Amino acid sequence: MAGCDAHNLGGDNAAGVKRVTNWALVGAIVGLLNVLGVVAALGLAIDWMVVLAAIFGVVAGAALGFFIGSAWDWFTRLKTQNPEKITIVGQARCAGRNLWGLQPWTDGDWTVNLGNAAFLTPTDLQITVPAAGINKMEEIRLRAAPGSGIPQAFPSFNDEAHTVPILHCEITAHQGTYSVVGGAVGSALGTAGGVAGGFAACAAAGIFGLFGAALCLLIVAASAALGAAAGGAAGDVVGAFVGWVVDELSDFDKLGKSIEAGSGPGCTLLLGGTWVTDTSHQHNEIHDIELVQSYCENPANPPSANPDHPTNYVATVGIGRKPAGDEPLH
Amino acid sequence: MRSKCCAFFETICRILIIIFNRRKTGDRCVYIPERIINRPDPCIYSQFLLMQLGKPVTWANPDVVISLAGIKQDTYDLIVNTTYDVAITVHNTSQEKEARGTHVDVRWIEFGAGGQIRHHVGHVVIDVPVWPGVTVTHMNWLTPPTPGHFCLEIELFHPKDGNPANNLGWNNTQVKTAHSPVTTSVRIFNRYLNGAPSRQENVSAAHRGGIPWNLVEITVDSYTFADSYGIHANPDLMFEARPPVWNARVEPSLFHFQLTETYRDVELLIDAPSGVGPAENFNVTARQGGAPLGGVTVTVNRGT
Repeated sequence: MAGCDAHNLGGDNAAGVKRVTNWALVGAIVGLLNVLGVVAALGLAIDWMVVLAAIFGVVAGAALGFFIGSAWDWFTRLKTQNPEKITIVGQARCAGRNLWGLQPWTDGDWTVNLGNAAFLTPTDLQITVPAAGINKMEEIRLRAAPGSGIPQAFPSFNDEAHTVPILHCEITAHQGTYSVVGGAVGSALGTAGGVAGGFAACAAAGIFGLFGAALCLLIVAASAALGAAAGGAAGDVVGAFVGWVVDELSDFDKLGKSIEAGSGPGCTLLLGGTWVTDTSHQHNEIHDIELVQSYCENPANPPSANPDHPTNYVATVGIGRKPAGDEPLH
Repeated sequence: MRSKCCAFFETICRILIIIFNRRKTGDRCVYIPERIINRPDPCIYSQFLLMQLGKPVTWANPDVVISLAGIKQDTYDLIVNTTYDVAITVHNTSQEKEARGTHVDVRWIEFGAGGQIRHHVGHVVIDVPVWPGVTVTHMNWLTPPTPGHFCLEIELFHPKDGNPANNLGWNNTQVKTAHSPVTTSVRIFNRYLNGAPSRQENVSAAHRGGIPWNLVEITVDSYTFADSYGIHANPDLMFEARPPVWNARVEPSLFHFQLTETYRDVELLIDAPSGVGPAENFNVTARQGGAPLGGVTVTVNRGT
C-alpha cells in the first residue's frame, strides 16, 4: 500500500525540494568558479575544451551540492515543538507505507493521516495561534515550531479539495536516513575520486603542458562530474538497500502493519509521539510515532447515530470500562 | 564468546533470508511488536482525560473509596488525625499485557479545584491483570492534625504505559443537606502563579489565541456516572450530559486571575426543593486557560 499524502491549504509543500535545489545551484556555481579559477591561474585561453570543462564543473558541483544538501535538509527539516511529546486520538483517514526509500524522492516511512482528532496530553497546552480559536487540535495543526522560519504551519487535509482535516503522522524508516547519508558520502567520495583519477590519468598520459593543461582540466572536470553524480546515485541506492535490510531486521514494518490493521472502519487510534513542524512541507506532524493504541468496536453492535460516539467510545476505553484493541464479542 | 559468535551468524542468516526473501517457507511464530504497540495500559477513572475529550465528569471518583470502619466517607468532612482506608481500583485496558509494577501514588490537596500543593499519602507498586481484571489496592491514610477539607489525587505510572492520558484521577466530594438555597464555597486555585506560561509570554495580547491563560471557566451539572463493563458499557449512555436537576449556578462562573493571585473562592448556589426525594449530585468543574483545572462534586441529600 502506498503512503499517505498530506494536502496543505497554502504554504509550500515542496519547500524541502526547493532548498535542495538551492544547494545544487550553489554547488554548480562553486564548481564553475573552481574551473574558472584554474583557468585563470594557468592562463588558459577560452576554447571549446575550457567551455566543456566549465560545464562539467557545473555538473560536478551541482551533483555534490544536491546530495550533500539532501542530507543536510533531511537531518534539519523537522523542528521540534514545545511541548515535545503529545498524544491525540482520532480515526485514520489513510494509513500506508511510502514506496521504496530513495531520497530525496521517497523515504519508505509508514504514514497515517489522523482525522476527526481530539487532543489529549499534555492537558495544560496553551493556545497561541489565533486561528485555532479554542480548539487545541487546531493549535497542534497550526502552531509553527521554533526555528521553522514560518509564522504559522499550514493546515493539512487528506484530500486535494481540503475537506477532511488531518494531522499527518509518521514512523521513520531507516531507508530514508541511510540513503541520504549514502548519497552524500558517495557523492563526496566520488568527486574526490574523480578528481584524483583525472589527475592520475593526466599524469599517466603525460599530457601536461600548455595544450595538455586544458585537456587535463577537461578530464579532471569530467571525471569529477561523473564521480559526483554516479557516486551519489550509487551511495543513495546502496544506503537505501542497507536501510531496507535494517528495517526488515527491526520491527518497523510490523509496527506499521499493526497501525494499518487498527485503522479500519469502527476503529479509533490513539497516537503519541514527537510533535514537529516539517519544514519540507511546512505543516505539522507527529514524527516519530512512539505510542499507538487502537480501539475497534464490536462489528456486531449496531452503529450509533450519536455524532459524539467515537469520542464516547474512546472515553469508555480510556477509563478501563472497555478494552483497547478489538472489543470482545461477549 | 560462543554465544556472540552464534548471534553473529544468526544475524547474517536473517539478512540473507531478507535479501533472498525465503521467509515464505514459514515462520510459524506470531510476532506482536511491543516497541510502540501492544503495551500495558494501567488506568483509573480520569476526569482530566474525560475533560480533554469533552465529556461530563463526576469528582466522586468511582475507582476511589475512602472509608472509616467500613463506612464510605466524603473528602470534605474527614476528621483530623484519623486513619482512613483508601481503596483504589486500577484497571488495565490491555487484553494481552499485564501491567506489572504499576506505581500508584496517592496525595492530598486542598479541597477545591486546581490546588498546587500536594501532600504525600502513600505509594504502592502493584500488578494489574489484563482486561477485564482489576486490582484493588488499599492504603491507610492518617489525616493531618490541623482541620481542613481535602481532595485525593491518584496518579499511576508504568514505564511502558500504552496511554499516558488516563493515569490521573481525583476524588473530591462534599455532602450537604437540602434547604433552599444550598450554598457552599469552592476554592479555585491559580495554576499559573508566576504569570503567563512561557509559551504565551512572547505572544502579544492582540495575537493570542481564543483563551487567555488566566481565564477561569466554571460549569455545574448533575451528570452521574453509570458504571458498567464490556458489552454492557454503552458509551452513549455512559457520557450522556445531564444539566443541573435543580436551579444551580456558580458565582462567578467566569473570571480572570490577577497576576500573583493565589486563589479565588466562588459560591455554588443550589435552589434545592424541600420535601422527600432522592439525593442529587452537582459537579462543579473548572478550566483555566482552556485546560482542565479540577472540580468538586456536591451531593445534596433530601429527607426520606
